[in-house]
Amino acid sequence: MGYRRLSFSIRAKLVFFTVSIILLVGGGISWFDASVLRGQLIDHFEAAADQVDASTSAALVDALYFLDIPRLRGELQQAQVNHDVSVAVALDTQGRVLSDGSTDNPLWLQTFPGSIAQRLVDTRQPVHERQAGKIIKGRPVHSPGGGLLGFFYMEYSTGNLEQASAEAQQQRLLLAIAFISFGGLLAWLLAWHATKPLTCMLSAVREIGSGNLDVTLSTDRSDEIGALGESINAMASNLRRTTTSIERLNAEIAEREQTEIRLIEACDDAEKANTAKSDFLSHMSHELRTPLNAILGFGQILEMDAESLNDEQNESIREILVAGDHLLHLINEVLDLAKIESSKLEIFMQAVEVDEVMQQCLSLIVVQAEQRQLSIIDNISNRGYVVQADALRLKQVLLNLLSNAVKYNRVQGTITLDAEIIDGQRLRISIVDTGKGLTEDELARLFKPFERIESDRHVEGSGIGLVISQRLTGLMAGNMGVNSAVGTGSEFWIEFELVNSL
Amino acid sequence: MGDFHMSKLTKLIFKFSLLLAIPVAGHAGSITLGSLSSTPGSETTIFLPVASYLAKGLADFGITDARVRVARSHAEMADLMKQGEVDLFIDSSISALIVQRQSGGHFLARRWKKGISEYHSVIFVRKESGISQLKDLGGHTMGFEEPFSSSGYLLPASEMIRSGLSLVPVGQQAQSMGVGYRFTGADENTLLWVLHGRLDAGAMAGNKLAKLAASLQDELKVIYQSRTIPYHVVVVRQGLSILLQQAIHQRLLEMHNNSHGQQVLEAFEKTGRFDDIPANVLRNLQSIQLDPVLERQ
Repeated sequence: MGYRRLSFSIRAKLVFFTVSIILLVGGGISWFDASVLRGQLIDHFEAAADQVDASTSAALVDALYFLDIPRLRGELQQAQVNHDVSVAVALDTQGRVLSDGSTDNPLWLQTFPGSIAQRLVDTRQPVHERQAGKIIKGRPVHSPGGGLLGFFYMEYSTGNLEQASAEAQQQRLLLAIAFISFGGLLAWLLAWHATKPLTCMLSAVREIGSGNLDVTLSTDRSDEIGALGESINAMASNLRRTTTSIERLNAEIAEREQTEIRLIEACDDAEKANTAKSDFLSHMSHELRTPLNAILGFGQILEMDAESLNDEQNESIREILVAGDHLLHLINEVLDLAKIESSKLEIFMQAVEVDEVMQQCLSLIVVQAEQRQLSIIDNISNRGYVVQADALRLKQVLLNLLSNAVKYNRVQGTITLDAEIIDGQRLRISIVDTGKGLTEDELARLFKPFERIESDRHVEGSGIGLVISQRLTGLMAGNMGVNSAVGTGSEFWIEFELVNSL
Repeated sequence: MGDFHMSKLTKLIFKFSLLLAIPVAGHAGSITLGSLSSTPGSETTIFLPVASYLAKGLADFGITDARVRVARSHAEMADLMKQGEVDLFIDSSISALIVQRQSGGHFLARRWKKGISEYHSVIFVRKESGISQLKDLGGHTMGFEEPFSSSGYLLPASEMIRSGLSLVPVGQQAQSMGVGYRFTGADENTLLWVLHGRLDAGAMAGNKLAKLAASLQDELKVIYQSRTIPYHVVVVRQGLSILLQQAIHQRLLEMHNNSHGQQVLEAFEKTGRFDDIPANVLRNLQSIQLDPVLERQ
């Protein structure tokens, strides 16, 4: 079981410590004053007792000398006028009571009791003792000639001393209580005055802590508390600005999150649509290719029996085959794109000799290039470059780029093939034509599926060849790019990991 | 003082005649008590309640007022009583005897003061003094209390004179073989002076000596005891009507029987009661010869 540590407010501590100081100082002063006063009272009583003792003893000389009891009684009564004298007795030389000041004189001629009186009689020397509540004094009384006449014994009550001391202490106690009460009130007022601004600040800080940043403290003081209030106001102002900024940022973040969610949803939708499209294309390609193959097969059969057909029929059959081939090529490209987008296209990475693949591709376009009177400058062949790629797909990419270089080149133009090793690790293969070149807008739409440049509508093509090439290059861990200048021509390049070179 | 037996009618006629024609007190309509003192104020305070008490019972005699007169000497008091200024004088028996004899009055009652109704005086000496009887005091010294002390001077001195001794002031006794005397001022002084050998003998009331010398039985001895006399008595002036004297006497003797009277008696120096003076005691008192004693004052 633990103990909770007590916690006091600053105001309570101020009051407590101030009252404690007042108690210590006031109590100390009162105690010191009472002690001094008591000392003075004791001295006063001692002096008064000495005075009574001396004067009465002197006055008793004649009465004792004459053994005059009425006179003794009178002198003792005179001594007892002082109310502090509780016992005043005249003794004869044997210590017997001659008079105690009373008419009854009950101890008449009896030995006065008490060891001090006995010591006085035995020693015949003055005695002085302080006992509880009284001062005892006694002395022998001698005649002027020196003879012993008797003794004077006196008990001086200190009751009045104690009473006076008690009254003085009571007065000082009351004064101390009044002083402490007044001091406590002042301490409370001081603490209240000192902690009031702190309490206001505490309330303000709590308000700020609870979210109310519109709190403003009065800063009409020029001391530390005023500076603290200004600091709190500045802090609240900064917090307001910061909070406003955070709220604005939060709104923006929320808006962006909504946008992102919408984008993700759109992407998902697009992905689904694309997948559906790819599935459709793949399905349709298969569905289309089957009858198309039948058409092409029967066309080729008819072509092989061209002699039995007239020219017009042969021409028709040829157009059927050309259109069929084009359609089949188109369908295959669509099917490839569909496979790529649906991640169903398999890539077999291996070390591929670029020279060999390039030669195969050149052999396929050489006829078309000659038809357009194009010059091919081959700076690649016989260099022995080997790259990491899928040989079939690398050939497909190169063939696409070479075909485009032929198709989009000007008549009697040039196709330049270059190879460049980059950073010693990759091989960049460039195919540069001398066509019209591409505008910025055309460059932006160049790698989008089914996008065709408006000015080249007359050129045969599906519009997805470059897209397929770029995707295939990516699948083979390569890159594809284009540099083009309108009126000069275009440079298409691909990069692959270099395995080795001559 | 015999009893009076009268019919109611006779009493009424007598009282009426008294009211009309007979002066009954020193001042008409009042009764006055007298006392000896040098402090008339305090003395009046002590005596006036008794006077008032008596006056209240004497309305039938036309007395409606009470007074107190204080004199400084027996002669003055005797004159006042003779002049009718004082009706009653209450004091110690010897003082009362002096005033009674000088004024012509007579004793009316005895006063029990502080429980004491009568006393005697004694003469004492140290045991080793060699003095064994009164006549041995001749040529010796003796102490009396004071000149007006009944028990401490007047009674023992008169007895000594009656026994044939002569009293002379101290210093003269050796020549006359009389008893040298001096006044000590207090019985305690008398005892101490005898005890310390300053005097050969002392006189005081027997009960006082018993009290003061209770522890000194081995040192002192009594060589003479006087006759017994009343402690305090009431003297009525000559000329006061018999009926009024009887009424006063009756009222004094019945005073202790009612609460008011008891309160007045208690305040009157702790007086227990008033009663009649026994005949033998009164005889002792009246036989005292005071003139030789008073001449020495």
